[in-house]
Amino acid sequence: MESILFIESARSGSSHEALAAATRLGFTPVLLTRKKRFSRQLNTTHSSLKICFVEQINESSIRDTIHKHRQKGYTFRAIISFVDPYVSLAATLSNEYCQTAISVEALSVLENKCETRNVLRTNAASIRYEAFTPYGIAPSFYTTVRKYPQILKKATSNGSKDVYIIATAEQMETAIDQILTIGGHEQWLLEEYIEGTQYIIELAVCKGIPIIIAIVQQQITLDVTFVVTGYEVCVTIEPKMDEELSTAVDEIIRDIGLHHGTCHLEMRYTDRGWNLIEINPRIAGGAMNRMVEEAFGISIVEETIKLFIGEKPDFRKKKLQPVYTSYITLAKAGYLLQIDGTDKAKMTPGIIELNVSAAIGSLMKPALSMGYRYGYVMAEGNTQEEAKNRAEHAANLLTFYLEPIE
Amino acid sequence: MNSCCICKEMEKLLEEQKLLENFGKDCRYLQLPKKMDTIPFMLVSTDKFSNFQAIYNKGLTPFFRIESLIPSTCCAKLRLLKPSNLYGRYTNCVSELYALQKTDVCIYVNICCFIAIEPLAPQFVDRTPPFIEVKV
Repeated sequence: MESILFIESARSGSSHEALAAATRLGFTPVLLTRKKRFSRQLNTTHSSLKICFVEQINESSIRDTIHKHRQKGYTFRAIISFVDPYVSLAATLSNEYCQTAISVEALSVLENKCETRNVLRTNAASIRYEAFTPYGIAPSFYTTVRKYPQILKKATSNGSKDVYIIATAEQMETAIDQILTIGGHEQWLLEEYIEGTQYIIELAVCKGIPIIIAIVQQQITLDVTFVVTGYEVCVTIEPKMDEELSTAVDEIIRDIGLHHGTCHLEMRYTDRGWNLIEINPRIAGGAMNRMVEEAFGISIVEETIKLFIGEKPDFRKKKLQPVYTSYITLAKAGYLLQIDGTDKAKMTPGIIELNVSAAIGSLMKPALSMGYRYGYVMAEGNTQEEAKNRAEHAANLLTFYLEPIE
Repeated sequence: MNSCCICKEMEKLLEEQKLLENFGKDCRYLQLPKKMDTIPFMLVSTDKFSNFQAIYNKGLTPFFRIESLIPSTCCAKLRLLKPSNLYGRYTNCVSELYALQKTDVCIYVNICCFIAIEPLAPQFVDRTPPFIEVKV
């Protein structure tokens, strides 16, 4: 039985859609997960899916799973993870057991933000940064003159967790003191703050050739942390920006050494060109796969599977449909009692998907990271403006009844 | 002496309600988030096992608070509790119940005329109304 082994998945979004994509391609998906609680949901939505629970996901538990399934007659064509921090580990084992040719070293570099910055330090898209470990920090660190604001982020952060904007030297001292109270042995980065619109660039590199699959503009709500509250698929892009982006991406991929694999870049466009904010060795999570599918007719996760197993992926755009996704965040905290307006929102024109991920009774909080987004509304339109207006309008129809915390 | 088992149970409920009312009163350090003084309940009548309902202000309510009980006669003074749903509107449906509010209306009943007591959580009484949030 030809199978694909997936290491971990979210309950919805890109990594979850990959399970269905594997079935469409004729493979039996096997999912190795630590999350027992969503087994029932997965079993009902994916009849062919085989779920394996483990207490810990590590090299030995993955090897055990592979051996057990091989004895049962499973032939794994690839081992893939769309979830941090298993991407490079899955790719390493995929190359070993399935003879795939994924650029493991490059993916491993991308899993650590400090290493990525170090590898790209001479790249034109790189920004000024300092890498440091808060524990045992040199006194000179505090006296260094810097231009504020600065961005403070953990080397292994994801989903905007542990990313802070620091406005003054005093705030920096406070932030480092706070990090030290919880440990401070990990590496952190201090980066210059780049003004400008931020984009996600979904990228695949097929045998050394980088392919820009999609460019998605992000709308960021900036308070103390960064939370992306809107995504707009760019169906058209200015030729100058496009050309500069291709050059920047080529150089980044060359410096990273990514020959075969996928990643997504977060970049800001300024008057000095494209600046790299982050790279992650996988497709962006959440609604990204569905958005790109609706906008261009490309399922990134499906094509990624093809790319990994050595088949020719098809990243040609089958359509150009403006799509916008509006994420729901709340301003006050409280226990969720009821959500009204979902039916009305679904009925509004152009709505592709409405996903509310909050459970009744759960504690809702203002957005401090991407994890505090409680759902999204995806809409299409004849123009990008119309798609955005439709998504925002539908999202505003949702009303959350919250019980105050006493 | 005209006692019945439901009357004994009601005596116990009243006793526990008094405990609840006085809970934490003498404490210096214990801070309770909200003072509670009522164990709301419903009464099941012999008539098709339906909930006994009383009329207040043109509305019906099956929810009560016990004020006093005379054990010798099993005569209970019940305060009517006004039920409301999430939207602050009247409801007498248990599944929609969000909050209960004490009214000024009391009735006297013979507890032995009923076959069961269905207690509810004290948190329903004077529950803070919900607030509405929309996308930021």
